[in-house]
Amino acid sequence: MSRVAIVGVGQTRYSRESGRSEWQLAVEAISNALTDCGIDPGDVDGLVRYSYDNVDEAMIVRSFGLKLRYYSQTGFGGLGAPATLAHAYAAVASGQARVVVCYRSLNGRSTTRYGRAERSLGTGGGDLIATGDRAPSGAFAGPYGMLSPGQVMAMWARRYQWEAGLTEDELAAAMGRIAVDQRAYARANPDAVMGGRPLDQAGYLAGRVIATPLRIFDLALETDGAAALVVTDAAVGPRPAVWIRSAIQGLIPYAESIATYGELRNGPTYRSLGSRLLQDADVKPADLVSASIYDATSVSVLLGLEGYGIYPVNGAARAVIEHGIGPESPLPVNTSGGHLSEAYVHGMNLVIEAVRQVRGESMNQIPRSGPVLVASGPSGLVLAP
Amino acid sequence: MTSPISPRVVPEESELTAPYWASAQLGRVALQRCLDCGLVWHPPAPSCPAGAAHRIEWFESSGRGRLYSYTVVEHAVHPAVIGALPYLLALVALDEGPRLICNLVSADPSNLSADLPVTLSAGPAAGGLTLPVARLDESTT
Repeated sequence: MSRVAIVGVGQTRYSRESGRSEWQLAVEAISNALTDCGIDPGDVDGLVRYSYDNVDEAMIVRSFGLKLRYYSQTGFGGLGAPATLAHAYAAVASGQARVVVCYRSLNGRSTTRYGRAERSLGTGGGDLIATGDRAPSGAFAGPYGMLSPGQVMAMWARRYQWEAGLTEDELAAAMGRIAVDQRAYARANPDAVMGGRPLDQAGYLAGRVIATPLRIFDLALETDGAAALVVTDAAVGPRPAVWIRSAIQGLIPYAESIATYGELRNGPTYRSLGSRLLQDADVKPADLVSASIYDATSVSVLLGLEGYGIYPVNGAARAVIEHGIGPESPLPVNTSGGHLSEAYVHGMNLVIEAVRQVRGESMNQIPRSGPVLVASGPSGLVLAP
Repeated sequence: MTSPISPRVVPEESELTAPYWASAQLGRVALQRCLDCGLVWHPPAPSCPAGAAHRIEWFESSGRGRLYSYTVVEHAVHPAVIGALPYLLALVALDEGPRLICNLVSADPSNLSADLPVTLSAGPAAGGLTLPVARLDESTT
């Protein structure tokens, strides 16, 4: 097995209004990540970014005076978070690069709001134009008012409820438990945007309905911030190295980002991708110490727990109602507070939390050493000490 | 000048999707199918997903299907649809196979359950156009 490690992580402050450009935020997060591992910018020879990022490679190259021999992009939004590390892993393992920086920077509240449709609709002739065929906001979705990721995931939640044979109250109990447990993690995390606001099940249920069955607390925050990670082929710097044990960057028909036409994310193809990821790391679901599961909405966590084999199909909701996803649960999930309560940095803050867990540096450290899962739909990583 | 009337949300058509929209403005659903393997798919694609060399054609869907999922949208994520609130978004599994996004009209959300039969016909879409929308079949209402 090739030896490739995440050696540095860095982030900016997470806020609702950074007051700074996404370029500035990216530079700060990357600087912090390089300082974290003591690597000089002159040694960075690879960059990986989201295709969605407004801060392109040339801007970073100029800001740090880099001389790259490798760069690449990952597509489809949140699927890109573990995928950026998968690219870095491949680049370093193949010798195309020695030190790769992965980053994501967005003013996701003050500039481009991912919970709203202004970013995705064009204009022309006094009308709003829905383009392409993706949901939400594409030509086959926008004219019906399907305009946000949350609305698509509301449909996932309802279908999941039906397939799992849950009552509406049981579904709310499961999704609420995820929101409440992630908020409890955020309370201990000084970086968490929602750290100062406790939430209990009654508060969850009292939350405003956005698109049934989803309430405000089921949905990811909108955040200004940036996050970066440094990947290389050796343990360098003062922190414990976090080895990449396996990576997968899956894509199946209609999976792209927020699909409506294909399998739910606990479907057979997702499960086989998830099981392949764990198999490649020689890890069983029960071996995992914690997980970062992409939580654009709370229901994504339920589906991810099933897609990666933590719970049987249609079994996650009842397991979560009984055990939650807190520190004492069979698999603690999103221990920084996640997108629901820490910040929404498009999955990159979830990768950073997985690194902290493996290092033993989380504000909600799980007191066991072992492999940690990072999962975003069909993309994932297994990290280990 | 701001128009007092909300802008409509209209689809961008292409050479590929023009047959779909020609039917849609009449409240009908046009689908593509494969003449060689029988596969039916949506949204439109330039070739059969099961074989790029297969011959394909457009045909008109029966417009009948089952409720795969739905959501009642209570919060507008764009000013253009504030006037339509609350509206019902549905995913309909057409009898021919593919799923279709649409609005479900004249339905009581407290009475919806998995796989209820629906039929598509012309009606008001939340974005302001007349398009195929779903209604619950009589026997189930």
